[in-house]
Amino acid sequence: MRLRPLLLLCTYMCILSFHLHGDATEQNSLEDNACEIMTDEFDDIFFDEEDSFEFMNEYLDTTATDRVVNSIDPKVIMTILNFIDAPAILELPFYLHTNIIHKRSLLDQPIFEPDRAEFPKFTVSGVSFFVRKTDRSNFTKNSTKLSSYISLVEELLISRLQNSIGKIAEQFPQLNIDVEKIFNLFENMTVQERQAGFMLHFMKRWHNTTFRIFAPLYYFENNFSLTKREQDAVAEEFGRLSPEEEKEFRKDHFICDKIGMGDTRIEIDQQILKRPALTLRLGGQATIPTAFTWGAGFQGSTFSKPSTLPTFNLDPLFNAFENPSEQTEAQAFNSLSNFLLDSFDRLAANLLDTKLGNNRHLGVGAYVRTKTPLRAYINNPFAEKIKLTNRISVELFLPATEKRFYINKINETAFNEHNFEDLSQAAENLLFLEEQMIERLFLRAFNTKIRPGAIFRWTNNICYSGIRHGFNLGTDFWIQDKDVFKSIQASQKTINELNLPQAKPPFGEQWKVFGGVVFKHKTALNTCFISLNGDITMNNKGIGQDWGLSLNFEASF
Amino acid sequence: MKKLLCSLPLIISSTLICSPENIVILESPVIKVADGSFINADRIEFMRKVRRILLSIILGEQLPQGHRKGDGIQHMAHLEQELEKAPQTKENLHKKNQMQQALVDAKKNFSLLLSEFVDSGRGAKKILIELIQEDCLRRNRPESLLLDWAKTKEGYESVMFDEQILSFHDYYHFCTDLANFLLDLIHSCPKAEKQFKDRVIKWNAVKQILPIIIKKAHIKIETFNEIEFLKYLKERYLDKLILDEITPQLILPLLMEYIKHTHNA
Repeated sequence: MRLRPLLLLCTYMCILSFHLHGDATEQNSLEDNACEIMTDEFDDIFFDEEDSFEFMNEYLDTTATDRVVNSIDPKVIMTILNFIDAPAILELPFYLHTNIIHKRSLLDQPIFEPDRAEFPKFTVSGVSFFVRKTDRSNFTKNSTKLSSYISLVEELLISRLQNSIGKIAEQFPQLNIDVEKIFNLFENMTVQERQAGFMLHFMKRWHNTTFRIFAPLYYFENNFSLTKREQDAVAEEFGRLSPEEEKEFRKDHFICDKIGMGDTRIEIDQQILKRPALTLRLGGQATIPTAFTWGAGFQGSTFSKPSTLPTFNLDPLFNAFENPSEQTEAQAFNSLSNFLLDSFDRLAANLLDTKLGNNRHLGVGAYVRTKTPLRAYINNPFAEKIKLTNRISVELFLPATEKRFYINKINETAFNEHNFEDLSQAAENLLFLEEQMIERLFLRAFNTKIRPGAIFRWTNNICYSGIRHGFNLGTDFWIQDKDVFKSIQASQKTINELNLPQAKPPFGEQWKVFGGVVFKHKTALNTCFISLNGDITMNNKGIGQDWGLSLNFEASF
Repeated sequence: MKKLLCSLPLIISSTLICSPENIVILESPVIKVADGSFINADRIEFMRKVRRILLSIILGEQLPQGHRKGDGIQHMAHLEQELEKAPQTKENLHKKNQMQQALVDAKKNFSLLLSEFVDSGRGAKKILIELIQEDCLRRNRPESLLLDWAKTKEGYESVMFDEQILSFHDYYHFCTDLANFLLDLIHSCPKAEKQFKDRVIKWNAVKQILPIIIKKAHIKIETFNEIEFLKYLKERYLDKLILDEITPQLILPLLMEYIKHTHNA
């Protein structure tokens, strides 16, 4: 601390005066002595009320700056910014969307449906070990590329940025940046999702009523993903990090992982129709928000979701311009890279740092299950063992508050009102451009009351059940409507500034095929089943293409 | 006499602290342009900090309830004055030598503070001279060394200070003139002063709720440096926060961001 010598000086003076005159530092009340002696020579110091404000002094002693960086004249900075045509760049959006990535609950995955039409006993209990992966998540309805979310292929932005860099290169010929090439490196970047864990399930039947409950314990990891070739291209452009540095960098900025429990699904239904060709059950389901996180940050990090925009000091950059040296250039580089990484971390917070479960939304719905023995239509020994099952459900969600990210709208009127060439208004214009730059690059998270879109699901399955083994094969259709934004916890002024349409995710739609094989072992008391199930997405919109495998152990007793 | 002399520092400092506000508002057109732009919350903060250190140098370290130790250079200047009047005994000569040495050391350390102050105004010397001139004129301090110091060629301020300050008497007047000038300058920039006061009020609001946030976030208090977090918050966010919106919900993500930053560092 640069001012520390002065504090030492105070201490030194104290010791010296004690030495010269004994203890002059008696804790006398100053008021008590105020009238004893007055002297004209040494009483010309003046005070204001802030000098004795306790928290002001505490602030000055602990948090206040030790030195003031000498700001560069705003006129100089504005001249440079006008020269490189910075205002024109900031008039263009950087974020095209700020919505979260659509995800499908584990509870809605077809591999966790009962893999046979009926069980021998009234109670079934078991556990499924599962792994799931989404190779490419959808940012928008049709695209899994980051360029659909961030303006990486917009020609106007690229040309304006390239134009600015060209002008800087006139002064610094060593600067050779191809904006389009750099943007292209990340154009195809996407988000991968991995899940692994256990689905605990229990089912009980009483006469015509069936109760079922299941809940997952799992680990998930979301990460930004580039292909190996793309990674090599990035390394070639920006320089390769050592393996340790790369691992640390990925952990800090590219990966988010958590472990915990998901939501719990309860289903209860009643058999309302039983005919030789059809059994129909009608029931209700509830998704109980039991999800919680036990731990996070094993292979990756968690990312904070602030609602505030940071400040950015342009001085180190322009200081490097005015006084080029290794030190000023390093300062400028650090300042800029930290700023951009912070901005990137907000993107990671939005896309990677998702909660286990369904953001504490209680879901309620209704479903119909049907069962049709094939023998009702075909009369042969094989058909005897085949049953066709169907499940159709609709689930609605209650609103709950969750963090959603937003970007500010571009205020074109404000841009038009500023004459950036007028250097008499340089300070004001500079402040405006600084704010605009931060608003273009930084997302803000606000508590938002959301009602997730309703989910419609239709699953049908053909189940073969032999004496010792069986198999099943089916299709699954899942669609979720768009979220409804009920309210945002922010001032009306702030809400007016936010670009709400960009924050709303598209609807999601998936069509899957799934199947499995099952082996059973019958004992005197119960029947044990071991089954291997899998599903894969065949068609999707607004949600990623995923696949899953599960190994299910269950017993019917 | 000795008893009286001993209690002098406390007496004087108490008298001074009780003295009514006597603030000069500078009227230079320069200040109206600079207020809120060139002179902003950061500069007011720095000036307040320099002034606080000056007060500690002049009056001694601050004690609870606004008391001062009274062992600063004001006290030394008094001792110096008394020694001048006292008979030239061996003991007094020894004390005089001790004081001279103390003055040399004090000046050496003080130069560091001065250089920080000078650096903060680098490039704005003309403005600084104009403002110091006006302040000295209005405070009736035409002979002030501060005036000569301000007029010194840029880069030679420390040399001038070293050559011109030859006694605790000079040192005391230089420091008080500087402290008074800073106070006047602060009060002459109402926009910047408000920016700074708002910042401190918000800082205090965050500080008040910080224990709740730390508890909520299950942060081990021994691994968390509150002061460093408050500094981080000040540098990055504090000016943009609205006082009414400072809640644990708002600050918690910023705290988590800070923890991530410190982890990364």
